[in-house]
Amino acid sequence: MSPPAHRPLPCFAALLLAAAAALAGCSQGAVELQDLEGRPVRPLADTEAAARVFLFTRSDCPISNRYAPEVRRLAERFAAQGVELYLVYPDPEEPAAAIRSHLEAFGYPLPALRDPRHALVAISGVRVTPEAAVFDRGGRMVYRGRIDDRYAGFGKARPEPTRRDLEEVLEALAAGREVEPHTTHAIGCFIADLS
Amino acid sequence: MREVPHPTRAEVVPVPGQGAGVPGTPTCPSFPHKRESREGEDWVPAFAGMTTTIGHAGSVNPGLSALALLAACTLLSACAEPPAVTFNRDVAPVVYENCAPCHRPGEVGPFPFLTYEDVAKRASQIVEVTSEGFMPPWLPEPGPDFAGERRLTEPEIALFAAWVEEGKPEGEPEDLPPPPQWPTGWRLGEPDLVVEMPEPFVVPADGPDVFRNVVLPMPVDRPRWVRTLELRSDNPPVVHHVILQIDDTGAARRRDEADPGIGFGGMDLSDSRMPDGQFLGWTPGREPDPGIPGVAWRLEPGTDLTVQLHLTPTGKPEPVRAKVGVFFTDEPPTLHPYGLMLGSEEIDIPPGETAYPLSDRFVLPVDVEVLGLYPHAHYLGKEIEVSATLPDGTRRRLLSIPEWDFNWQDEYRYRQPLPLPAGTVLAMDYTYDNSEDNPRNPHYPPRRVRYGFESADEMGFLLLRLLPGSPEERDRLEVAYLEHVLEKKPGEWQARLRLGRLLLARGEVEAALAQLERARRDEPGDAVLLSQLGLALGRAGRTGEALEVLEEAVRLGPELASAHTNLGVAYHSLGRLAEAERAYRRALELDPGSPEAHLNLARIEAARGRPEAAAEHLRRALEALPAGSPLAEALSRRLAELEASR
Repeated sequence: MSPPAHRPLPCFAALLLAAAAALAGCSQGAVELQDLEGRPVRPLADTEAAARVFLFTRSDCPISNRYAPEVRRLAERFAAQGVELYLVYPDPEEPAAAIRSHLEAFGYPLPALRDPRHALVAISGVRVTPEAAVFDRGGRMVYRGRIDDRYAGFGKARPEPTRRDLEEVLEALAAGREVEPHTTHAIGCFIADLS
Repeated sequence: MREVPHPTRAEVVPVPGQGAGVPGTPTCPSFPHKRESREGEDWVPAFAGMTTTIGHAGSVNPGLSALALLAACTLLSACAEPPAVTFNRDVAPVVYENCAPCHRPGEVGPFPFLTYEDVAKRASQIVEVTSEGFMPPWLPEPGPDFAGERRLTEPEIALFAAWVEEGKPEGEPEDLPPPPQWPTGWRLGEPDLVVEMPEPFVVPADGPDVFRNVVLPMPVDRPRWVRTLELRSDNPPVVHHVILQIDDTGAARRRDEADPGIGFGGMDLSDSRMPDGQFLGWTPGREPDPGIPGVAWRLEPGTDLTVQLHLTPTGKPEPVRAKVGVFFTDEPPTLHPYGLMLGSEEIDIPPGETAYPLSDRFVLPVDVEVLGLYPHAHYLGKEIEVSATLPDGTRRRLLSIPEWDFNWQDEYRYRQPLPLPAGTVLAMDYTYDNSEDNPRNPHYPPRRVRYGFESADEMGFLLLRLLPGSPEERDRLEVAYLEHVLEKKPGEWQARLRLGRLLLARGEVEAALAQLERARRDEPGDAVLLSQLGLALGRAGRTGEALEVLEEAVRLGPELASAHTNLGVAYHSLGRLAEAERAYRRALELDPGSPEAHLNLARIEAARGRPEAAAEHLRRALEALPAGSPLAEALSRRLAELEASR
């Protein structure tokens, strides 16, 4: 067969496929990721947790790594308040061994999941690492976006964040309050390049 | 939810049988695992920017993918065309040239760009940062011809976008150029001297950028000429840039001792200085400065190198250890660049101000060549404009930075020195943004910001490295510059002292006296100043006053060898030889190598008819002088005469 073409799929055809996917009646509780042993995990299956937080990250993303102490602080603060936090690695080329080294190097006390097929990426719509997706007890995504506003853009870091968006969401959920679903723009390494 | 939670991207073809789960349960769309593209594989053209391959051997339904391909091909006319842009042929050369020098192991880049995989897994990010101009990092607008300029051309930037749009094809293996070879070890060759931090400094995991100043003694037993320096560290991703200065007062060492841990913190290195006005800096990814033939700075024994490291936390503690390779020359310099510093300390920026202006102007008194520029501001700096208006009215732009970024500050050296004639007006015009819109603002909410060394304060200066045509013109340049400084800050008695000293060296005794006497009114108790004033009074023939002033100098500064020498000269000129000799010998006790004291003792010994003793002092004087300097030449001749007369 002659070398294939590399042209973008025209928009309307793409939308048809999307519609087909949507109509397939996908249930997000069935979304499967893997733990570091390769076992399937359904992170959005029913739970008692007040909130589930998925922090998408990569071992080679400097912005994600610079957030490690902050992520640890949030984990420590909210772990006992019914909030489950997970690190999700969407790079299919990143093996479990590399992830374990990464967790150790940065002192992450969190469980790690791999999402090589971008199942959770797709459900949540995250674009970059680091980016957080927060689901409430009912499985509804109530927040997607940055951890805080420390980064205004590449190379534009504030000395300190002025808004700690993720922490505000978690405070509310941990206290049993409603959170109005919202998103913020996150800065980081693009996930789209990884599939 | 303000955005649709289900995937809206449709680059995925749902493949039956994919994904585990209870049979019959509808599965959610997912990206099958990407693998290496290979020729002849079934491809499904993908949505722009996304990867193209779908294919798990054994699990793909061939019929479905062929159908999709057929569907795509019927919609598109040129299915069988080879890709217009491939990594191997088109993208790799650009990456090797522009990105890989920093983005490779052992350099500052946090991830490498050496292979197809490296680049493909960050491709759309590359498109974004290159089209924004954030990468490669280079602040100035195009125009001046600076060495080591890091810039992608418009076609090169467009190349990345086109490549991503085509689905990031790898291309033919034979098209891939050989990867560049970078030298390991010292780039400038084996240094003559290496000074190293005795232990690492550990950058904390979290927090803002860290400034750490380490003090490295420079063990030389006699004065040496330094051609250039090269800096290396063992943790390059953490080191953002480095400024090096020298300190021969011991002040930096004392600050180091007072601070636990290696070195001391903060950005204030005001007690160090740039040697001979030369800016010594290091920024990532640039070849070390090999120096300019004929240019060298003088390193005296007892000098420390103060190294200010700008360090970036990475999320985990990072130990950093730096070392500096020093390259000497035995040839005394024949060219003497001058470091002219324009700027102002009158900085008082109200909160909310978005374009606070700061300017300085200087008229060149002599012809010069501009070798390079180093602009400096802190986090509020916004626009940097440097221009030169020639006597005929032509205005030349020397440097234009529309968006200053403190993290990427650099020294800009011209590829060819830029000549500017006497009468040229050098102009520095900066603006500062102290509003909330400036994300780098150290204060939230914004606060009043004034002149100061720390990162939360502001500074505004421009160091121009100028090459005057001769030592005499250099002196005239320095006189004009010091006068400019004193216009701005009349109370700056140290500058006035320098000016006085210089005028005296030029033989302008009355002018020197005027400056030194004024300086003394501003600062009556400084031994160095009094010593210089005494010397000037002596030269003016006001010997009685000279003696009075020098006796006070020695009283206030008993450890100051030069004060004793100058006092000796005053006695000497009054014919009081015994007191003169005593003063010179006291100077030698404090500074055994002092050429001036030895020289003057040689004269006394010669006058006493003791040529051997005189010759010995001349020899000692010569030891301390750099070989080839005019004074050394003169003394050598005198010594030869003395030895011949024996």
